[in-house]
Amino acid sequence: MTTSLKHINHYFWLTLVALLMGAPILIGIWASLLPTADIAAGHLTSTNISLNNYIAAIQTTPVLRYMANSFIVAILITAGQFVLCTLAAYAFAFLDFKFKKQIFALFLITMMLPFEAQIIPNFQTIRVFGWLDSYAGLTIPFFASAFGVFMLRQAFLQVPDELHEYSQLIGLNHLQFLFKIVLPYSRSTLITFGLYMFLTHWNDYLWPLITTFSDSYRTTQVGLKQLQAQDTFSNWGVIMATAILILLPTLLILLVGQRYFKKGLNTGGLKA
Amino acid sequence: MIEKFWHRWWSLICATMAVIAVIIGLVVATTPQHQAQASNGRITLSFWHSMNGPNGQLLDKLVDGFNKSQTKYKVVPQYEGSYGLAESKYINTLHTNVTPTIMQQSDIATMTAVGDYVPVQQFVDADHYDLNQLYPGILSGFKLKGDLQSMPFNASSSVMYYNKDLFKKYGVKPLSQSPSYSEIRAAAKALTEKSKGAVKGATLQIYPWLPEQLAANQNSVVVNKNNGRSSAATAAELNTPAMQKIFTWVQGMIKDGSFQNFGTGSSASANQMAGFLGGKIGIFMQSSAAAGTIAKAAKFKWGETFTAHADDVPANGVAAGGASLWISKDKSKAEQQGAWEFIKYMMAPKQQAAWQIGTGYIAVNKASVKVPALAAAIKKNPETNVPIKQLQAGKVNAATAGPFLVNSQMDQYLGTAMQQIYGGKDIKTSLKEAENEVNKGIRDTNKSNAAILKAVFAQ
Amino acid sequence: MYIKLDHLTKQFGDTAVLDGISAQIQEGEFFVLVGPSGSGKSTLLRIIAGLIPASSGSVFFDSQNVTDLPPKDRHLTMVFQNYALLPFMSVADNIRFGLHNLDLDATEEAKRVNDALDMVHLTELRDRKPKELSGGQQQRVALARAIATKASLVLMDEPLSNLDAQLRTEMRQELVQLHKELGMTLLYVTHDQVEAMTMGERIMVLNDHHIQQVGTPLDLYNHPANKFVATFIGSPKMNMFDATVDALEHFATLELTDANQHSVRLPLPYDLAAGAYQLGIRPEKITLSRSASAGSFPVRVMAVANLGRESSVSLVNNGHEFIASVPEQYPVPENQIVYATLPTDAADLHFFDEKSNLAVNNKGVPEKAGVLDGIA
Ligand SMILES: Nc1ncnc2c1ncn2[C@@H]1O[C@H](COP(=O)(O)OP(=O)(O)OP(=O)(O)O)[C@@H](O)[C@H]1O
Ligand SMILES: [Mg+2]
Repeated sequence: MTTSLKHINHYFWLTLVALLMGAPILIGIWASLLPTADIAAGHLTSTNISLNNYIAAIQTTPVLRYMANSFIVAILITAGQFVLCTLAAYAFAFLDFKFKKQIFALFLITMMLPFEAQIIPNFQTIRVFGWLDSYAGLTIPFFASAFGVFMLRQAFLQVPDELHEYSQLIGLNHLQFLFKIVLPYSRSTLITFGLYMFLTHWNDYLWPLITTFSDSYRTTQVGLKQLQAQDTFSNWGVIMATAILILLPTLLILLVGQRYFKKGLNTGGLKA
Repeated sequence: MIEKFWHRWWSLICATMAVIAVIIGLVVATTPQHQAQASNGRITLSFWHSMNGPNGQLLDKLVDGFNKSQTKYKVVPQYEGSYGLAESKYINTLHTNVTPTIMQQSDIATMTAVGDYVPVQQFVDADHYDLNQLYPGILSGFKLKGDLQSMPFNASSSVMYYNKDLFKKYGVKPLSQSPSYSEIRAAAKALTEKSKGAVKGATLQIYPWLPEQLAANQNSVVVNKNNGRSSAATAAELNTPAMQKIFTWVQGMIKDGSFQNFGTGSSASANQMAGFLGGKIGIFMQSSAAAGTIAKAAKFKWGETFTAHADDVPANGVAAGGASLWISKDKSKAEQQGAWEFIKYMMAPKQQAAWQIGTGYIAVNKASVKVPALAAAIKKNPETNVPIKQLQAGKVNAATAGPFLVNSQMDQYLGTAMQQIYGGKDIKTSLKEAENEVNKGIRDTNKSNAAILKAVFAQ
Repeated sequence: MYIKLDHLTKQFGDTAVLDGISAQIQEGEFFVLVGPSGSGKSTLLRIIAGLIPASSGSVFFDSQNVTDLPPKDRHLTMVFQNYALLPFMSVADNIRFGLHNLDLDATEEAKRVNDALDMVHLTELRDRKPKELSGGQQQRVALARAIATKASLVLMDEPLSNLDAQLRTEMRQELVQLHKELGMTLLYVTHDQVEAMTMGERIMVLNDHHIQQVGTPLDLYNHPANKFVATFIGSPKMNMFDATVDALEHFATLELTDANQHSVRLPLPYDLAAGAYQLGIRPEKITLSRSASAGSFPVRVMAVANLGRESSVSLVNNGHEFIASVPEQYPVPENQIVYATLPTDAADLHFFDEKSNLAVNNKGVPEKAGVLDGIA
């Protein structure tokens, strides 16, 4: 087979697979343009293609509020994790203290614990604190992330010892060293970490589901579920439109951050 | 690209992060403890409900009306998912900052067992509120030993819906107001045959609430002790002649090839609705509360009849479905009083009339039919009044009060029996098995909940 | 500023790395620390910098005891093997960043950056990122960063070992030149004795936790204080022969044999007590010829490394291998028998005590320069 034929063959299969993978999204986008009545009646096309579902979604559902909440929650968690994980990772990477190894092992063990297993104790805690249905309740339980500490520690360990020594020579204190050398040095990991955490928490479902009780704090994923009617049949057009709206930030971040995801997720290769 | 940005704005990013850290602190510090006192001096009452779609929107409108009608209270409605989900949320957050003042719930048995409410009867008595303005057949389902526990706000009853246009197209006689099993079977068979299978005549969703209503309509209870109303039920009564008749009827239609089984699971109901709206199903049974949706989406003429009755048994009536409003015990006197004021407002003729027009739920207030808007709607479309007529025609007795059963697995095992029967298994065997399983569950529940049950029936 | 090291020791846990290190480094001196890998050179340098604490002993800068001062208060700067540049900063910013805690005003800062860049000929590349530079250029940035601080003490830990051979030679000269111009005290760590010999004004040889010898390059070469220094300094290595001195005889008997299978006997240039010794002879002091002569003994050529101007010839006699350097090309085939002659000059014969490995009794040999400061 000649190369060009080979190429055509490759592209054919790749396109096919891409279509298969993309089908749910493409169908979703298509459905979001159809009137709900047609979707409910099982029609695949309509003479009435429009953005009405989007307008309806924005006007009749709190989807914008949900998105704002998700945004706030994801940003707060990312920021909180950034602060806490950075400091913890710094300690594990650069400081010497008693039982460092044991404590770090403990951290890793909590990483093995799925969040689902922590839900009940966490729920009880924020319930007692009176943090149900609040940003505090939505975000604070995620601030301490063993995974984040681990990932950042690995990145910090890539900082050459000489840079640490150099910083001592020129008289940087710990915070200066952290902010002026370590963080800039690890910036690809930090960006990856930030994007990844933002995405993860933008897509949080279970926790917001069980701790939010009002639209003031509901996040997109939970809100989307809300929109599926109970007593009455679902307004699928609007639901699809909402789903597509919710998807936008994710797509945007993936698009912009691709490079960092590829790089960052195999930490260790994080040389500047 | 990010890198460049990062480099240039590095210090800014650090600063921002620091600011955000401070914000986090503030968020925590100022997290509202869901105080009842709103800023403008009104008492805020949170109201958890399970209405959404058009029904939810109408509910919001009614709540808004209440908030505008006075200046003392502000009700904040919150949709909390299905009744089941809302109930588990409610139980998991008792005595917390999010506990609602007013709770809409259909599961009277569980709510009673949890017991964290003030019976509405207390406010009725203190306020000399006239319960006679409401339909007794609906109230009966929410009474324990004669005391009203919660206020039935959104009442429904089971009805049969049918596609009039299909009936006309295939020359089938429209259903009567109170059709018998054989009438429906014949119509379903005719529809299927004449459409050469393009239309399935009828369906009965695997949804235990439906056979329960069909049994009530034969004056048959589903648990002993007067459907668990006089004292805690100790046994299920599933393998009864009434139940057997229901499923014999269904199996007959399955044999005719005129019956569509939509299966179980969360999408069964949506699929059934889609089938009806798509003109592929002739007759189905559902809550009268579905009328609002059908009215909005159906592109054909449709009809509504009483719940079907067995051929040799006159219609006894069905239990009121839907849900009621509960007032939380966990709140201050002032908040509870506000909740009662809200309930009174929602039960007034005008609000109930608007509710029936908009949703298909039954206006619980007898005077609602005289409200011009509802009167006009009924005149224009007499079908709208079918659920009320059914209620008025029905008897008020143990069967139509519906079962009162704490924590049993009735729905699960009756559902399983239905699946088996639809699959062709022997009716009596399936029902007997279900009955045995439910009985086991009832025994366990009664044992572990003895104290609660005692308290409930001691009231 | 001169530096005094006073009985420094260092242990990491149970392992001793340095022991009894005492030395003085003169103001403005180019002082080289040399020793095999793992001998504790970096450790000593870091103790002087204050980056790690000594287990005991003190460090003095001039007369000030700085043992407990943090690095930043020691007013020194350091150049690292892998340059330790900040990859996210431009060349100029890297240099400026090094002035971080000097409290300079903006003009002075800019001037220092410019001067330093100028000095290392990198003015054109000032806005590049380190990764856009070659290794040599990066090392020059590191140098410039050190120069700009105007610290009177500069520590360098194998700064050239990441460079290729040619660049390394160039940089050696540049460094020596820079030191001449700036006159700072320079402490230079290397494991490469050639580097030490060509650059250092004085050299400290470290091995086995201890200082082996301190002295000028020629000192070390000509008067190695012990067998280790003798073999460590110089390339090819000094040859070592077992030698026996009998009482009353003025000869050393070597384990080499002459044409008649008799032991080779070397006349002693000075008196030595009877006993067993190691005799060290530098390869260039052994002369080879194709024909036998008085005092010569036959050797078999094992291999010839022709370096163009000179050749290293590996030889074997009586099972003993040794090397002779000849100042010419040496086209002799392998296994050829040639004749070797050992030197007789006192300065060329280095006797070491068999047990202590110390150089013995070479008095009468004129001292050229240097002090033997801390012989273990
Ligand atoms: N932090 C440490 N903990 C334990 N042992 C250490 C530590 N640092 C160095 N050592 C040990 O101390 C000894 C001296 O190390 P050092 O780095 O000073 O050697 P060096 O002379 O610089 O060697 P090289 O030429 O390879 O750089 C080595 O045996 C090393 O293993
Ligand atoms: Mg070293």
